[in-house]
Amino acid sequence: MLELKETFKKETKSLKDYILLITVDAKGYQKTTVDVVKFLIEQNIPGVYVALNKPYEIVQRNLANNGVDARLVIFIDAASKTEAKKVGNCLYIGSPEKLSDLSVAMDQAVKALAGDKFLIFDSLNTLAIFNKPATMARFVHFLTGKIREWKIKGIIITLEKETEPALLDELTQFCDARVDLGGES
Amino acid sequence: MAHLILVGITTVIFGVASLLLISRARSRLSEGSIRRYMDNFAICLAFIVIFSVWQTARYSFAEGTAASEHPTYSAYPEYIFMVFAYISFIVASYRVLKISEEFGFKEDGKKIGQIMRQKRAKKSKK
Repeated sequence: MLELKETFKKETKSLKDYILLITVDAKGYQKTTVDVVKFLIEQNIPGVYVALNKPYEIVQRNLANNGVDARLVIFIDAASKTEAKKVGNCLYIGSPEKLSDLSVAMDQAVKALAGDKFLIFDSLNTLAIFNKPATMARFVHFLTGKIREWKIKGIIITLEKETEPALLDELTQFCDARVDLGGES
Repeated sequence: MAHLILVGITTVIFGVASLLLISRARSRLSEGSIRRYMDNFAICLAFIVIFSVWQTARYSFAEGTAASEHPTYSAYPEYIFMVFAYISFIVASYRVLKISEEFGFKEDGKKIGQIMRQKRAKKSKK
């Protein structure tokens, strides 16, 4: 946590809103996601968590086990294979293929929050399993553009080994900083 | 009667243009609630366009005959198309309601704001 905290502070020190790309290895993935949310919530910043890897219940349990107040987070769950529905502070999209719904949900969730806020996209490599590379590239461009428009703290998490190098390069271009937490091939 | 035909042709052109625009928009969206709503909306519009086409055709064929003054049975399908259009509008409106339930985060945002205010108050007391 300390290492991530320091890196985070260093990279985003002078920025009010930013886009941070975090590349991790599979081993450290879970710890990183929890640490990122914890770091932001500790600063009393509410936000939106887009879960593509794990269902909402699991993410919430992990956060609760690590003492993170998940009440400050709106969850968008695209990992659970259910019909589109809203339960509590979580919207189930139904599938990571529904990119249009995902985009509208992110837009509405971010705009519902006042003041300083964050958006965590967990994780980009999962989208690649369900969508074509061209669609992915367009979505990445859309996402980074929207984060800039919303003027929020955007954090995109991805497994380095599972992400196309070309896409990763493109994404790095759009981001303010890239933090590599393991996973170098 | 000629002016009615002209108005009819104009509305059909607008209707077809709208359908083409919807079809283009639909092709860009991925599967999901928004696309389903668009499908519903396209069906509503299709019924209205069919209504206009039918009415224009009826005016055109009835031009100069007694039927142009007194509508016959040929006018009945128009009512049916309008009824179907309104039914489709109800379905589309219901879908919008569902979309607002799904994507509406206003209440969650308010709740989070309240929690943050409470946290800040607690902190300042300390």
